Amino acid sequence: MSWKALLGVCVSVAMVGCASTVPLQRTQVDALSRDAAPTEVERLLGKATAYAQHEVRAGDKAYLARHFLLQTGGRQEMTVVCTPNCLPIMITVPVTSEYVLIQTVPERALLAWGTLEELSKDADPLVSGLMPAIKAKLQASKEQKK
Amino acid sequence: MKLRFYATSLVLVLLLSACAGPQIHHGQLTHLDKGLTSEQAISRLGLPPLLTQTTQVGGRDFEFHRYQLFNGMNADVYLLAYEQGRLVFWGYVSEFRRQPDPVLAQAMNQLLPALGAPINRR
Repeated sequence: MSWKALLGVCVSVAMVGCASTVPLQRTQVDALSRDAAPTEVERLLGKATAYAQHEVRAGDKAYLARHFLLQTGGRQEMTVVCTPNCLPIMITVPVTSEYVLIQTVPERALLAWGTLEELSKDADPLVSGLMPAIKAKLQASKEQKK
Repeated sequence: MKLRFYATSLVLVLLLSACAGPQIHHGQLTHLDKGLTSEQAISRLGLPPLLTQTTQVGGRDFEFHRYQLFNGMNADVYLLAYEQGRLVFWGYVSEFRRQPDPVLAQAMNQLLPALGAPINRR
């Protein structure tokens, strides 16, 4: 491998490493269960980072909604690195969906997890009933970040 | 020569997708919530349904709205179900069959021919 190609690979790896939010993987969410202890939930989430979180209330109970990105696939994107000769470099960019975990407060018991759409039509009226407030708070936090 | 072929193909694909009629996209589905009225759901989707059908099953009245959901490759039948004027469920045909309310699933199956979707009951 030429030094230019090696440099290109290093740049692409570094760019992927710069991603501010580490997405969840399907294997991680597949391992979640309602009876998982809070410490076990944290262990399963691993290095995945929540890009937003907020509390919502239903009656006298509070719930914590933590928003992640779930990697559902990947797509190849080409970038050109010039050092000074230009080389095309292929980078795999993750394709993600917004994914939310809802936990009770303060116990942190796992109540529900899924995409915003899945939880909005959840059979449990408590979960689907929390979703309008969760989505409104998420939208507000997105607008604040703009 | 190849460029002309690809350009023509692209134009044809764009023209054909324009003929497919109004469609919704996955991003719009997160705006739906249980309990919405049909007016609220239409406003959030920004699109009226292609077709509306009502039925009664087990003493319960349902109204189904049919949409086309574009998944990036093609458009699939997507349904919104209302009971007593409120949105109770939405999804693909397979999702209606998986959800836990058997009466709602039966109502959807009953209306599938009228809604224009293929019937593929197990």
